[in-house]
Amino acid sequence: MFEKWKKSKRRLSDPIVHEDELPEIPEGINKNLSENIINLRELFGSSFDLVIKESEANGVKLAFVALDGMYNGIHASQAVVEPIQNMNFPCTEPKLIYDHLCKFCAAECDSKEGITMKQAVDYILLGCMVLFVDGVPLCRAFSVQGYPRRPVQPPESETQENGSREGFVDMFKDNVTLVRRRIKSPYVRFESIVAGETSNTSLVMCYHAKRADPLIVNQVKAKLQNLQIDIVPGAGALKPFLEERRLSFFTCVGTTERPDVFAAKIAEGRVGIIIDGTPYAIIVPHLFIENFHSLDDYLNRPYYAAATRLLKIICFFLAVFLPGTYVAVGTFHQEIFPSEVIADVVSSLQNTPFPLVVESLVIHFIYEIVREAGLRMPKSVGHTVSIVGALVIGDAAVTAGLISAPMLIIVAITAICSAVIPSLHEPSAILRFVFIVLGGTMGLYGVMLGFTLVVADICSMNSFGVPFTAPISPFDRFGARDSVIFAGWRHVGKRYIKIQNLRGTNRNGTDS
Amino acid sequence: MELTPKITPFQFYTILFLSRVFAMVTYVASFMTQRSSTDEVIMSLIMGGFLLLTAIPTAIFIKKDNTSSIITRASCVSTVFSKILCVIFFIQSLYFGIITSVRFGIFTGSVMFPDINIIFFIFVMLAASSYIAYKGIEAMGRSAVIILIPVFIALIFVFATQSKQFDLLNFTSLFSVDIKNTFLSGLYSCTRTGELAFVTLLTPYVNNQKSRHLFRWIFAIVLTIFVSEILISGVLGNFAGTQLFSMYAMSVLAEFGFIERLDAIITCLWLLCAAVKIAITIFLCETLLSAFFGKRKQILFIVISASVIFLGTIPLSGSLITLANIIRSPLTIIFYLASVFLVPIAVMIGEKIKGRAKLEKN
Amino acid sequence: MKKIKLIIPLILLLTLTACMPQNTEIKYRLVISGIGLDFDKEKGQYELTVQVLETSKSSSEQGKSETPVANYTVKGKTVAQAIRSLGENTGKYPLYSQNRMIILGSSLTDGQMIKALNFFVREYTSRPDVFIAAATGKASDVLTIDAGGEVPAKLIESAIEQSNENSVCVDTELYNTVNLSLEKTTCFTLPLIEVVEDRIPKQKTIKVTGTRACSKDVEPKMMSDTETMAYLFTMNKINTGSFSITSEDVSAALEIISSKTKTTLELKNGKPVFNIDVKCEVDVVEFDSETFTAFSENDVHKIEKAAEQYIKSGMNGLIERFTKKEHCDIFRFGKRLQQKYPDVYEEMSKDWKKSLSETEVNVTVSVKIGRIGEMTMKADKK
Repeated sequence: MFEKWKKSKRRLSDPIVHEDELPEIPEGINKNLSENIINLRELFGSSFDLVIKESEANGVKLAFVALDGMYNGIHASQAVVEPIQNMNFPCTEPKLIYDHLCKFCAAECDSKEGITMKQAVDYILLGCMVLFVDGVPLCRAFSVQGYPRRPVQPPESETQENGSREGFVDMFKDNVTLVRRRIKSPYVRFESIVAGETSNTSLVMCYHAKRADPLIVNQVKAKLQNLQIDIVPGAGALKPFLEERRLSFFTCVGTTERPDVFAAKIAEGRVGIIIDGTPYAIIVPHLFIENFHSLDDYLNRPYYAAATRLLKIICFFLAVFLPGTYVAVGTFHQEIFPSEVIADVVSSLQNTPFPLVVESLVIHFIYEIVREAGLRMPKSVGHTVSIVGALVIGDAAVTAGLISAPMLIIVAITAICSAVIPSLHEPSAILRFVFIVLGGTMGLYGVMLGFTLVVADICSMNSFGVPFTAPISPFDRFGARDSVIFAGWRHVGKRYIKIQNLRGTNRNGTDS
Repeated sequence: MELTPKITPFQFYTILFLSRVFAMVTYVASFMTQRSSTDEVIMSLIMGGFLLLTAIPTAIFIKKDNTSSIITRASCVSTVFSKILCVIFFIQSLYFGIITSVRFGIFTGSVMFPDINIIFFIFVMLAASSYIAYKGIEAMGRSAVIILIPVFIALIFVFATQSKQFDLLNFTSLFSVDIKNTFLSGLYSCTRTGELAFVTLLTPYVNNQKSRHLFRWIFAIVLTIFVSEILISGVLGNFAGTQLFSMYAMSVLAEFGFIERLDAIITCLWLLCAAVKIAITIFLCETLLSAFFGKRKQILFIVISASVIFLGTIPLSGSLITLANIIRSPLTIIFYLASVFLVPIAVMIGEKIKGRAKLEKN
Repeated sequence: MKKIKLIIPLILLLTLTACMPQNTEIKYRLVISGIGLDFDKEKGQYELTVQVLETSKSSSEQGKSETPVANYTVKGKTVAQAIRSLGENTGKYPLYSQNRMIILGSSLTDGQMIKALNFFVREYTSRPDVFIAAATGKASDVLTIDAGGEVPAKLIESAIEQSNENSVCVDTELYNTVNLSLEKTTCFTLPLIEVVEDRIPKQKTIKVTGTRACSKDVEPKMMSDTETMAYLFTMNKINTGSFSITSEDVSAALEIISSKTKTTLELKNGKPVFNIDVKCEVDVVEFDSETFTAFSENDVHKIEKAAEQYIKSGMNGLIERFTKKEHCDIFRFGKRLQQKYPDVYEEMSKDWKKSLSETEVNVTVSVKIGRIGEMTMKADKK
């Protein structure tokens, strides 16, 4: 998709230069400074933000190259440019000058050496200021990045009652710092990997070397290193590459916006991936039951945590099955309606023109439209959406006899229940429609059969060898203390759990 | 080397338990004999006795070696013998698969959806079961455990809510109809489902299986059937004899306070057991075909097995009488005894002879 | 190829949706709340009064005086024929699963009752726990009473349940009726309902007046509410209830708290002897005296004795009536005999009326007074 978009963009903006005429990055750094400058200008083409500042030291020409906006000018000036310009060099040899520069400026800020032009270009793109010295086939990159950064803010998607107010930000280094602050252990590794042929996005793979399964670590590393992707716009783009099976409603790759949750998962032997440019980090392996967990469960009393988790599970079932069950009951199994309400139900359905299945599909579709509009619409017009949604759908449709009142109640309950578990919104939104059709065609039997198929699908999934339905099935006694219920820190904290030790983890192809 | 997926004995026997629950739910008493309530209760115990007796060769079989299936062990005796066994077990599995589909069709067509074409339901059921079989035994085992929870809750709910209506006066005297009929009913109940044969065929897929697991399973199903028969007889009395599916009739009466008329939900949960049963049957057929041909073509073999079951179900699905004749035929007993009694003994004898011959050779 | 694999099932599913019969939806169904069966002897056909819920308006839109039901009368040679014509008249398909009551009119003989119930036992949406009752007159009169804005069938059901709670009538569900009717020697019982006219306000309502004993071999017999209580004592089906005892020394009103009846059977000289032992706990709710302080310990014993006598005489009278005069085995003595002594039963069932009349029944009752209310009592001088 991005390839096609890039091609079309190129045709519009720059019709003169054909793709084949674009220069390749030279392999080595030329000794001649002018050649390097020409190569860089050709490489970056008409980009206005390439800044090349030429200078000299003891008669030797120097050039500072950076991208405007990516580096901190004041820091660069104070730490790099001015000291170099004011420096007294004891020699005139370019190489000796270069070595002297590296030794002296190392104290002011971080710097790295670049051997190839590709490395030099990568450093420039990362926001470093790169120094070329005439007569030296090397470059020095100074870490004086100064691009705009979002400050650490509370996470938007995973709000907690009792947890910390820090969420991941878009800058991966800041995220690494947030995690480091929470696990002060030298065994927590942060390995950097670059992904994306065009975007060259930095990914940081984190794991606890003593607790993570080396098999899982190596598997994740191999997958990340062999990614066939052009641009990494967010965590969701990496998920398909980490999943075992793509054709499933549920994903066995978890994401989180919270560094405390991330750190806790790392401590369980999982592997986390922090992605530059997005506040969502990836965690693998991810289990189905974890969709119903939140940090508050671990910070509240166990009985309340258990109640909340059960509530979430019930909400998930309601969000997915309630519309289909209602359609099934209304179409085939009318005896389930209590005698006291059946007359009202029938009278409300009497005047509606559509069959229950169609009515249900239409109203849920409208709900999805309203939900999507509420998500995308600017905040200033958000009120309009809610008013239109409430009045038109809620009142006018029922009064006009297009929709029955019980169906509206069902939609409302479904909507509220699906908001309780945001991580399962995608599968529940689609499955809901599937179950409505099943309920309308085969009654409760169809709904139950659909349930069996979904269960079989979930049960067949493994997340890096760990059964997706663990620790429920196959049942793991210790793991079950933190599954549907939370047994409390006195029980759970007795020994730490390692995800790879859950019963059924597929090392030997066994489920025991 | 492809690792064989394995499940725990609990998961495996849960699959077999759910298969039996389906057979219990769709049991038609009038097929066997004139109904006598006390005899039905005794029949369940007789069934348990027969099951225990016929399970002994299977128990010894798995005790000797619980990692190889009967086909693998037969192939060590003779390749031709193992091929013949593949064919026999394949036909038997298809037979039980067809019977299950027909039962499902008759049940659904009689009590749930009489207005709708039952062939459609059977097709959907087979398609769903094929999908589950395709997912593999691990998925089947894990999902069986999850399905067990609502099925078990439904059973307990039905059993627990019948206590108020229970009346000892509804029982008849012992063997009031015919002793021979009661024993025959027990034998037919034991043989009409082929779960015991699955044990020796699917041994490689079960991790660390022991004979005590087998006996626990037998105890569980006998207990469930025994309790259900007691309640059916004590609550419904002679009314049970007028109904095609007495277990369903009992579930209709289950109510607790304002919770009433949930039989549709309860019954649909029990019908899920049919999906599990047909899935394991199709999986078994696929395994047998793979063993016969020596190649594993999972999708093809599953489609073939499911298609044969579907084609076999269509002519029988509308006719209760034909089903009754098939179930009451001696063929069912012959199939059963051959697969769970004679074949394991024959294989074990063959292994012993082969082992002795090797020793003599050495 | 992959796309085809995805598209074909989707097309199949969507086309099959349209093939589903639309008339199964609830808005195309006639929700039946009660059925009354009468038999027109002249024309030789069943007359059904079918009470359906009125669904054109919701309960909030309906006025308080408006009846939430509509009654249809249909006729046919068989019940099934009659009910099918209901669909033709209304354009909707009947839904029996919400049916609460089946009232059988007095014009139906016991044999016709069994025939009529055959349809409800067979119909897949009909439920076996629907209540069955007998009317003293026409079933249609019972169903068409003025229920003051409530569903009449629901009112009748509540009346029967409450009466059964008060041990004034039996409550019989369809499956129970079928169960008893299939026993060779047993007569099944149904609660009896009568239409009475309230003076204020002047409207017809129903009253549960007792029990009807039915058997195809014997003419139907009626039991009053006191006889019904004795019957329930015999069958160990007493819930609560109250009765008054009046003797020479003492008069009181008693409320039954709990009761347990144990019936044992033994053979004496080849003949069955039934021993019925009743243990009952009652509360004194009213004591007939001119002063408030007259109740003493001695009175407790007298009341207990009088209550025992009352219950015993009621039971004996009922057993005597139904075994020796009516020859109607409503107590399931035959069933007990069949359970314990099947050979004797086989022999006796050949002429069960005679065998029943020769059956010996011994009733023993023990009553214990639990509470005497909030009033105190005097201790007797010793």
